[in-house]
Amino acid sequence: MICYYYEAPTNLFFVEGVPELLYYSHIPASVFALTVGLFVFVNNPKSLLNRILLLIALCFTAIAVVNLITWTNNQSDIILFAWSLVGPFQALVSILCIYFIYVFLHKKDISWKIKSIFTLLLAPVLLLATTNLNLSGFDLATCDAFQYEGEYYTLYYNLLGLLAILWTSTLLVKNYRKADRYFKKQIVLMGIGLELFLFLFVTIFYLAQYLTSIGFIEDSRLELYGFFGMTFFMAMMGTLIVRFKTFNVGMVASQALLIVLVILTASQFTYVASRTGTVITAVTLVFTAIIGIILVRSVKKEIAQRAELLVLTGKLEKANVRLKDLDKLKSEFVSIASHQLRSPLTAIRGYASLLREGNYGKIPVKGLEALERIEDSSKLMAIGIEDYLNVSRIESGNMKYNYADFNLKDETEKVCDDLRAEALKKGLTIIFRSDLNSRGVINADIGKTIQILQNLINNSVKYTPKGSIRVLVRDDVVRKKIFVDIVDTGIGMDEDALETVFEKFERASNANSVNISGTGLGLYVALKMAEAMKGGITAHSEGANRGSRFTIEMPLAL
Amino acid sequence: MYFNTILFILVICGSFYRFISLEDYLVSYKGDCDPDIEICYEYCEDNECFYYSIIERTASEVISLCGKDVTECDEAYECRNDVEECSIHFCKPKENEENVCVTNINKL
Repeated sequence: MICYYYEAPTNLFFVEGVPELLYYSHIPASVFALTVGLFVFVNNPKSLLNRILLLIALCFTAIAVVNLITWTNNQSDIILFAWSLVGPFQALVSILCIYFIYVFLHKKDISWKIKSIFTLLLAPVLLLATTNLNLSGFDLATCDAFQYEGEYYTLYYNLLGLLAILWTSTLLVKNYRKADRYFKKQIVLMGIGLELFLFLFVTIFYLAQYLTSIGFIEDSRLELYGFFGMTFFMAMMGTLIVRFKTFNVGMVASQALLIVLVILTASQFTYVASRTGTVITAVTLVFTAIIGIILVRSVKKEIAQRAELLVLTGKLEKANVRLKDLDKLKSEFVSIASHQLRSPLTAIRGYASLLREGNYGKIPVKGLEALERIEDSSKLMAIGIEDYLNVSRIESGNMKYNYADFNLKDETEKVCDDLRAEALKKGLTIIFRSDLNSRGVINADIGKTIQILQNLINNSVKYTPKGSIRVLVRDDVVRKKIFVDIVDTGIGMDEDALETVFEKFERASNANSVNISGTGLGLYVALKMAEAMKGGITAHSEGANRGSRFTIEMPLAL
Repeated sequence: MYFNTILFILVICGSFYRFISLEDYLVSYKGDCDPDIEICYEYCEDNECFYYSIIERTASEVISLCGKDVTECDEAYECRNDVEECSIHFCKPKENEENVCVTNINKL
């Protein structure tokens, strides 16, 4: 039926007497939305985020079209058909915005549970859209249907918009806290764009509808301002595309988008006839151009920075390769040098021993003392060389382990027996004890394990001026672990020393007080060997001069 | 989401069918009113006042009687007894405080 006070539109939407802002608020916003939506979709159609953005743009354009029809048409059936779709489209935009934010933040599709919630929320709007609860009639005199709009239906789909504002802002704030600096900037831009769009679109739309239906305002021209929210949203999307490549769109394409947006804004001069429209278009054009120039400049700067970063990364990679080569050369050098030193040292030790034992004739007592010192020093030197060699092997990954089952308790007892004589020379006792619930068998390299035990017990002997060294072998069958505790009454360690005791070339600050020589590599080598055999070593001390406890931990072979 | 898309297409088709094909909705328009015998709504423009009532009836019926334009159709302004969904509303001063009601029956 025809609204008898109103003229029929020309070219679908154009009619005289409508608010000047009508075309300006609807057409550019829709063209912007469609341009950006189609642009990101064409550039990467497989991206879910891009598809949702296109859907939002399409729904928004649909709302703009049906709203234009309600403003400009004079046929009740066409107006009511268009009017009845406002609610479903608006509800869909609200739900799509939540979906969009989920995918933007988590970079993946949402679960079927959330999709089901979306469907449940949308269902009432869609199922009741064609009933009288949405629209029941039309006023031919005023050419609108405000008095025939269902109050609860309108309230429901507007509440969905409010829900979208709360839901998306909560998601954005929650994820902002966890995000890195780069993503935080993207979240801020997305938040400003989307929330402003939803706020303007939902609240202004609802206010205009409500105030017109109760007769507080003559017509709903207030709702026209709600459409400007989309321009802000798309401006932010444009920034995200250009600045952060959020939608995986290329740099050249992004700049092309900016140029298209500026041309689109400028093209409004061709149909905006009124002075207000011209002024607003000019302001928008200047605004868009300024933002465009700033963005392009920032992109250029970023490209330059990236190029610089690429050069630096290349240099760094080369330096890293060189460093690795140098490290390898160092390890090889240490290995070769140690081997070269070890061979003559074996001869020195051997001949010193032969001389001391009288194989080359009788040696005077003073000579024997000198030979003993030569033997002791060369022994220390041999140990030192062995440590260097071990470090070199560990760091170059050339340390070989021959795994076999053996009894750790028996081997520990043997080591204690071997070192007992040396301890007795210093007036120390080595007490061995075991408390096992298993056989005490482990699967490890027996040679390396003995080396670890010797190193730790020998250390205790060296750093204990008086008292005893207690060695306890115990196990924990539940955790499938076996432990060897070496507890001494020696010089102990303070907290600082405990932290660094397993590091290379580290010795406790009070180690020199007992006049003991050492390379500071023994514990480092022992720990690395234990770790390689899936075990470990820990050190404890109550403080300086309060003794130490070293615990070797190895997995039981049950 | 496919379910919603199908539902959405059905909504568009359903709305088209109801409002454009069936014309299944109410229409209201201004009817005649004589302030000497009824309480009328008043509308004044350029020192000239008009009196009217509001007629509400189904669009399909009006179209069957008068076509799409009610202005040149006398039958659009009266409700026959055999038609249920047809009513003529006159101004009610207490209920419609924002409207000006005019009558000469007794001074309001």
